[in-house]
Amino acid sequence: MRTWWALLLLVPLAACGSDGLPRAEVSDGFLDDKVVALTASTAYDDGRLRGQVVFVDAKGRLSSVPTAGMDNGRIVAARGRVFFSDATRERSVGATTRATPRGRAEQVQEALHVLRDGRRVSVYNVGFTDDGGYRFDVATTAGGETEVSRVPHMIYASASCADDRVLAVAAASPDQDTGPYLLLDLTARPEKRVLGRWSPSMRTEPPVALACDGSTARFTVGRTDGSGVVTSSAVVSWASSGSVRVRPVRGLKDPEFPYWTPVSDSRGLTGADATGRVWRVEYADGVARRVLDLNLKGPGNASTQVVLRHGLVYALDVDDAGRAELVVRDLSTRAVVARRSVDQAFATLADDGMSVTDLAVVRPAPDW
Amino acid sequence: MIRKHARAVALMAALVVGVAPAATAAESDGTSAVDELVRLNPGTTADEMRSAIAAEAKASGRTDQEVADATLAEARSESGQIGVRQNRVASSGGGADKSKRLGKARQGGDVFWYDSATDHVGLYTSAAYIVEAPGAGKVVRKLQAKSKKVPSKTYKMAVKVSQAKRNASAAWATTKRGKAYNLNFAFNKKVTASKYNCSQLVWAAYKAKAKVDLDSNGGTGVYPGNIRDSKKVSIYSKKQG
Repeated sequence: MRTWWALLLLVPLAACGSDGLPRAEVSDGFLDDKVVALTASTAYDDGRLRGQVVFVDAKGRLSSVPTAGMDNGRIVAARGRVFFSDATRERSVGATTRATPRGRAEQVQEALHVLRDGRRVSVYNVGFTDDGGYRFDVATTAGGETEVSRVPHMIYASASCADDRVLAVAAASPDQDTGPYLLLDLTARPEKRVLGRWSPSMRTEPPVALACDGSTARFTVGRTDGSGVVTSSAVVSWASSGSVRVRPVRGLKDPEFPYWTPVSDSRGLTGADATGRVWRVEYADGVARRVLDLNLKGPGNASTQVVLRHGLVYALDVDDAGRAELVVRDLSTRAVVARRSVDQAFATLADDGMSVTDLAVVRPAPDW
Repeated sequence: MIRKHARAVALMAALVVGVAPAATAAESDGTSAVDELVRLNPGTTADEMRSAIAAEAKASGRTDQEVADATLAEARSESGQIGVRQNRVASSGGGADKSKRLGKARQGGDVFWYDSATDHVGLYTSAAYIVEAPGAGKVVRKLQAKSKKVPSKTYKMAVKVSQAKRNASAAWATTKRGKAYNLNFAFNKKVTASKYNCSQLVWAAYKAKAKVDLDSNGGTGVYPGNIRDSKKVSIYSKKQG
C-alpha cells in the first residue's frame, strides 16, 4: 500500500489557454451554471498523453481544465463535484480543484465510480503481462489517500451498486474469453474479492457493459455458434450472493449489446448499442423491445458518447465533419428536451488530436 | 512427433507453396516445424504453438502433422508474398518510414493496410476514426485517423457488404478496446478471443457481424495482406491522404 497526502490546489484566475478554450475559473459556485462536463484525451502511444476536461454551461459557454491525459478517461458528476482521472492523479472539481497522486502511472482507464460514502474507485487496464494474464489496477481514494491494488483478471465491465459495492464481471482464466466468468467486488480486500463463478452452458461473447441494481449485476452476453458468430443474446442477473439467472433475449431481430453503460431497475435493463439504438429487456421473460433510435450522425466517432440517466438519454453526437451537438431525449416520450451545439469544444479538441471519451451530467435536463 | 517429422513437414510445405526446398529454414538448419512457426511469430512459445496445433487438429479432424504442414506453409507463403519477412513479426504498425498521417475513409467499416517495416491493418469506425490492435505490449485502441502515422503507400478499401453490416462490424470491433495484443498470427482465426492482433481484429469483426470471411487464402491464420488481397474488398485508394 502506498499512502499519499491529498493536494489541494486552488486554480487561479480565468485565462485563455493556448488550446483555444477559456481556462476554467474554479471558485465557489463554479458548477452552479454547468450542465455537462466532457473529458478528452489523446490516445495512448500517440506521443505524450495530454487531455482536457471541458465544462459546458446552460448557455452553451465553454471552459476547460487541462489534464495530463487518460486514454478512455471516465468522468462522473456526484456529491457536488466532477470527478476524473489523468495519467498520475485522481482529480475532482467543485468549488476547488483537488488532485490526489496515485503513485502509479496509468494510460488506459476502464471505469470510475463515486460511491455514496464518498470513496472513488478507478479501474485501469494494465494489459497482458509477462507473467501470464491480464492485470487491472483498482485505485480507491478515500480521505485524501489513494490505495492501488492489482487484480489478476481481465475485467470486462463494472458498476457501482446501492450498497456501495462495485461489482465487476471478469474472465476466470487468462486465455479463455468465452467463460467461465467471475463476479468480483472491487471494494473488497483481495482475498475476499471473488463473489462467484459462472460457467455458461452455451458459447458466449463476454459482456461489454453492466448495470447494478440493489446488489445484483445485470448484463447481456452474446450467444455464439461454433465459429464465433453471435446468433442471439441472453440477459444475466448475477447477485452478489453468487446466484445467477439467465434468460434468452427474445423479440429483437439482431442481437444488440449495451456499448454504453446501461441502467437497470428491478424489472428490466435499458441500454444503447454502439450504433445508437436504445432497447429494453425484461428480466422476467427476456422479452426485448426497441425504445428509440438516436439516429446518430457519427456513431463510429470515438468522441460520440451516450449516457442514460433518470429516464433521459444524453447523446454527444459528433459527425465526420466535426460538428458536435448535445441532444437530450426523454426515453418515454422520445421527445427532444434539450439541445446544445458544442462545435467549438470539439473542433479545438480534435485539432489537438484528442477525442472526447466520456460525458458527465452535472445538472439534469430539462432544467438547463 | 512433430519434431521427428520436421524434415518431412518442411519438404511437404515447400511443395505445397512451390518454394524451393533449399530455401526452407526448417531444412537448412534442422529446426522443427514448431520451432519455425515460433520463429515466424516472435514472442510465442513452442508449447503454445503445439497446443494450438493440437486444438486445430482436434477441431478439424486432421492430424497434428497435417495441421503443422499447412500452417507452416501458410506462414512461409506470407513471408514471401506480403512482407512478413524472416526474423521479424507480422506485427502491427512498426517501422520508421511512417511520415504521413492517415486520412479519412469513405465510410465507417472501411479498412486501411500498409507495409512499413511490418504489415498492419486496421478498421475505420467512421470516416474519421479508427480502431486497431497496434502491436506487441499494447491494447486495442480507438483514435482519430489523422493521429495515425503511416507510410506513403497505404491502401484504403471497402468491404463489399451493406453499409449497415460495415457499421455493425466496426461497432463490434470497438467493443474489443482494451484487449491485449495476440502475438500468434499462425492460429489467430478466433472471433471471440482474449487477445487480438491487427488482422485478427478486422477479420473477426466482419466474421461476427457480416458473416464474411476476409481471409483470402484460408488456413489457420489471417495476415494483414490476406485482407488486402481478399476478393471481398475493393481498394479505392493507394496513398495515405
